[in-house]
Amino acid sequence: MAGLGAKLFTAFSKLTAAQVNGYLMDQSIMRFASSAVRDAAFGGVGEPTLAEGMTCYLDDTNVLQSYNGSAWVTVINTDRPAGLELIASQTVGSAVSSVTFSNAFNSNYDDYRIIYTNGTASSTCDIRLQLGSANSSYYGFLIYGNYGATTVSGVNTNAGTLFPHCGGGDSNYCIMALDVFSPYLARGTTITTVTNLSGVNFGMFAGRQATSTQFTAFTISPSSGTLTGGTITIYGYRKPN
Amino acid sequence: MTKPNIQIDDVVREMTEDEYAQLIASGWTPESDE
Repeated sequence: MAGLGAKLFTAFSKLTAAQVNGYLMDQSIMRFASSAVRDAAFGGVGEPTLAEGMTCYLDDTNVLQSYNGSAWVTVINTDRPAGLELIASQTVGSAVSSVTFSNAFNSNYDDYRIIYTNGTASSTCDIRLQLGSANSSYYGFLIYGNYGATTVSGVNTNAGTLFPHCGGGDSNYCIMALDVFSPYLARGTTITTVTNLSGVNFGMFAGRQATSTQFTAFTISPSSGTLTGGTITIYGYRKPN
Repeated sequence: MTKPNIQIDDVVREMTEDEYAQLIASGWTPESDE
């Protein structure tokens, strides 16, 4: 039978077999030696019937699986848990010239990936990144080219007020996808990105904010005009155990 | 003069004078020159 959800049992109330099965048995994480042992435990005479949402752990492969209504699907392999973990996301509002993500970095992770997609810009622009409220000691270099030419150009950032070349956008798109290393540690913060910059330009930017400030927030802003819509998502790289 | 909007987490509002001054100081321009 399918799991019944949640129920608050009170003292001296009657506990039926259906309630034990529906609230406890079918909603617990069942443990089996293998998938074969598990499959043999369902559907026979006197055995429970498979139902969507049932979850089990298999000893031989060390995986957690859930039944989706037609098949058992691995949710996580406990030998190899996910390395990139979703922390939070933020929808960008309409016609904003900067967006601050307040609680982005903490001690749970050393390194992060930040992605901004599916928005638009009011004019052709680069997308810039500021760490916390720091407005100095940004260093870096951009290597880029225009899709209509074969020449490579470079732009340096020397004691800048932010990282100036982290992404780009125009009336059709916005993109920023970068890695941030050690923002919450008391050491310099480094970033790397490969991206579509302002409209027609494509390149790579690496930079370092050369103070030992521990940052919890970041702000993105276009080099000109405003951003509208899209989502900023931040992930953390899981630390080794 | 109307100043640009700032978003802090899920709150969008018009920038204060100080916030707008910081934005200008960062090199931001109202329109692209490309």
